[in-house]
Amino acid sequence: MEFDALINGFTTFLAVKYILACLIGALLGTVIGVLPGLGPTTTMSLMLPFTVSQDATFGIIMLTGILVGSQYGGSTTSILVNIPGEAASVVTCLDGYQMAKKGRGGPALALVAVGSFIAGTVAIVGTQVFAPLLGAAALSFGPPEFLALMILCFILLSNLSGDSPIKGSCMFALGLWLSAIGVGPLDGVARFSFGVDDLMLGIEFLPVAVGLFGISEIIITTVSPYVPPLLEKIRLRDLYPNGEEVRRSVGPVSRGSVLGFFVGLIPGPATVIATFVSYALEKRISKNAEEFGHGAVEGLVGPESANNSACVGSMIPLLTLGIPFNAPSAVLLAGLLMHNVEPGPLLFQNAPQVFWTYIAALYIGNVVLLFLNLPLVGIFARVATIRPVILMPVVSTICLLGVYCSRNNMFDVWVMVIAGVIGVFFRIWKYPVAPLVVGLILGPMAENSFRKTLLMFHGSLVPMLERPIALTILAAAAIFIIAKAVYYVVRRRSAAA
Amino acid sequence: MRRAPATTGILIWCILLFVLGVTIMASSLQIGFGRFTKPGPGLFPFLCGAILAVQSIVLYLVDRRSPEKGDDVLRYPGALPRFFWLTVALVLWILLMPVLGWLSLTFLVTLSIAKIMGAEGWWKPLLLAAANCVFTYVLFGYLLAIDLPLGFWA
Repeated sequence: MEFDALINGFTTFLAVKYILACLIGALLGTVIGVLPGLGPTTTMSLMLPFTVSQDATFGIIMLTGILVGSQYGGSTTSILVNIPGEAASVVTCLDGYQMAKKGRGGPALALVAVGSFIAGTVAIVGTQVFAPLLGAAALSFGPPEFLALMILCFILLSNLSGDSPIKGSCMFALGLWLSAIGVGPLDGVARFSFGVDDLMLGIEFLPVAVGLFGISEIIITTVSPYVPPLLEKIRLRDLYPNGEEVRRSVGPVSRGSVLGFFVGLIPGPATVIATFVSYALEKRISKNAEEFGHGAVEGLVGPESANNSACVGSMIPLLTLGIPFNAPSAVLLAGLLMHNVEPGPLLFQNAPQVFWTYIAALYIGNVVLLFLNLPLVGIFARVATIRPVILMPVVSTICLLGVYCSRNNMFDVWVMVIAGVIGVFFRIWKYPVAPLVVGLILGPMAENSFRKTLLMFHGSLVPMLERPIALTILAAAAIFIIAKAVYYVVRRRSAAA
Repeated sequence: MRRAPATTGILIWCILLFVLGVTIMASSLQIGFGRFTKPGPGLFPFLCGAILAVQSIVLYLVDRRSPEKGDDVLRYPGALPRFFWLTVALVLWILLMPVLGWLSLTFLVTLSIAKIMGAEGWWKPLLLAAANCVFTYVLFGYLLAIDLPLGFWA
């Protein structure tokens, strides 16, 4: 039955517009991945108003293409220009650029492309197998279980986004409060609107996301001095790795695929974490550990495979539980809600075609990106050399028009500009913005779960501990806090000694 | 051991967050807490405000122990004027939209931002502005057929 459903998902692509959506999404994602600063979250947010005019299938395919494409694109500039296109490609610079300097840039790109394809495929199969199972298990989730998940999300996201858990928790709480502005979900009472009609409708996700990720990046690029990147030249015939490079890639790709998939399930910047964990693992078990940092193949393909696998795996909590654990999946949630598709446990019952179309889009997007990236790698690398003075004015107007178009409301544009200006100061003082964005989209669900749990248990939260699933989730959160505290104490003692 | 004073930037942030947190808590009390057995609309935002207020104090204390230096991005020569003028350009886009219409503003804002970013001469920025107008017209006006304010062109 699932095989039939998957075939149905693939038959969706018989329509030309869906093939175009996949192609445009993949191309756009790769270009965005190549350009430093403009990450997949901003691009996906900007594409939301465009996808509203189309159906849900079109939107999912395009947004998925952008997300997966950005992972491919980010590695191109990391290897050729030593500039990470996005955060998860930072580790790629360590060994990828060193390989390019030794004249092995082409093989590095080829190995990364093939490794990412394999890892992506592994993660898609994992999603196909585990997501329906987790979705079925999530049917037994009630408000206490969702509240426990929110608490886990709050703790993990605060600790894993940025350097300071205190700042992370502030931003998450700020996002939760912003989601409370407007008419309340359960009782219709206007909150924090101060008599302003536009505030009664609430603060929308899109202008905040575009402001924090897009406008603030434009401002920072505008005020920062421009240093032209030096581009290592690459030709199609230089792309072939030798036998030893291929042999040394097999293990890291396999390990990275599995590791990345499971790391993708945790809240926070899963792709970034997956790359660092994979790099540390490969360095620890490698027989050529001294090569790491100087062009080790394992240090390149392992993290890149983990990155792609984590990217796909990080969507499982969204699809099965309806909870986005990071900013890109928050955008995907916003996109699905705009089309009246509610991800979560009931997705597999009410709209299973959405899930299988998404899986088919991942398979096809993965293949498209493999065949797109290798021949066009020279062109994509050149995109990174486009001067910001040309790019930023164009992106600014797209941000302004795109946000205005979502509701034809100038208030949203005000929100975007204000968020962008404040976002600059968040960046200066290292306040991570991802928790704010996730808090904003999770806020209504968090409040619903909290209030319903209190109602269920007559004003107490203690009976949550009598429910096995909620207890397990809370125990996981507690273990994380204890482990972090122990690690902090041990580190301080070692530093003192 | 004498603690270092918190850096000015961090102090301002902590005060702002604390004030915001307390304001949220006060407003939430006015909205109505309800009871724990029947939670009101003010309970959840009250908790958010409490987290902000408490964490702002913790942040201040942590920074006194080990002061943190912010990013230098606004200390580059000319950074603050560029920041100011870019913000003005974005705000003017919002204010002048009903009067000038989206196409004129796209042209003017593209030109302004290019000059703010240091584009030399006038031909290239004008060409960029014109090209961007064509691009956004094709994208928003033609392909997506979105109804945008035309201003005095209407």
